[in-house]
Amino acid sequence: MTDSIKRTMTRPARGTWMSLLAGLMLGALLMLGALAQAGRLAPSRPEVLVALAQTLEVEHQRIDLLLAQKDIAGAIAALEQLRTTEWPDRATAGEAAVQLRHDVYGRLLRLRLDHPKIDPRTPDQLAAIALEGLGDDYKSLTTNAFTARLVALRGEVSELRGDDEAALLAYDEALTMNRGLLQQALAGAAP
Amino acid sequence: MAISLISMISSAGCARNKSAETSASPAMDGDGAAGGAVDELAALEQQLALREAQLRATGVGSKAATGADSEPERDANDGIVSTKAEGNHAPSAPARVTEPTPTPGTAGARAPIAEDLPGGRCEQICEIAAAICTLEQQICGLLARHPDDGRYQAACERAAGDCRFATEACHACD
Repeated sequence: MTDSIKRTMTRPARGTWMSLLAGLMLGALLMLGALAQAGRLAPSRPEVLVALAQTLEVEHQRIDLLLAQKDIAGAIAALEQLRTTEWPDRATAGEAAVQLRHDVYGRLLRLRLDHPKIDPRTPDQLAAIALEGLGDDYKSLTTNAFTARLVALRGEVSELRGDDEAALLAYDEALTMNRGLLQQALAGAAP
Repeated sequence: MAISLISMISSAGCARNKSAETSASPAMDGDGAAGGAVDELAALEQQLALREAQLRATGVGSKAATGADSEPERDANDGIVSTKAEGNHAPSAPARVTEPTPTPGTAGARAPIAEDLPGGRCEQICEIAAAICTLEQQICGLLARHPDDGRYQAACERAAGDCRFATEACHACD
């Protein structure tokens, strides 16, 4: 067998192995992605989410009472206390836990913006609260009212800081979210 | 490659089934029936809390839309939002008055969720419309400071269109 024939036989064989290896790696990555996607739909520890939701429900009702008594400072203090909560991550408690966090931070920012003289915070500090509340991956969440509100509030904070560019981006982003929520509601699905 | 794809698809299907089983309420065996009922109750309570919070979130707009007090009225017993209709509403904001929800009759009762209330879906649509029109005000408010910037003009026009559409949807929803 000549050398050229040998080379011809080995070249396609090597190529075949490479293709097979690439296919295996791609398949493995796709499989991992699908598994991750499936896992994302259900929290690994749903009891954590239930406990969090029940705790927050009680706290929100307490805050409602404080507001009914015109105790804005008390309501803000209660929400500030919730900021120190050890929030479970998405892998543990699912997207709903993140949405609940957005709800808390949104309520806090709304109160602070409406009552700036009570336990005052600088615009930069308010921006930090918004950033802390949203987290790093809020854009990957399913469109929901809590995140939309918090993003809009971040826009208000940006205006306070004199950053109209950032405000416009935030408002537009919130508008897009609300547009999606409206479409869902019109289609009959609960946003 | 085909073998990898097949293994991926079968694994994903198994993962979804396992996920569904994990979140499924009823237990497969009789011994776990009580635990399954507890799980279902907990899941329902969780859903109620989320729905209440959703209503609260969609019902709370900025000062411009709701007036001096942006926090919605809440009954201490029922916990459901009733958005104020009075105040400094923008002309483009929907003027739909929401009905307050009934208070629970027993100590253990929970407030009804939106879908159980008459007009619950319409209430959601109108609350979202209010949020959209509030954003329109905010975006177009920026335009005054940047009259020569086409991006602000475009964003304001887009927001105005969204507000019109949302308002019409709210009015049409009966």
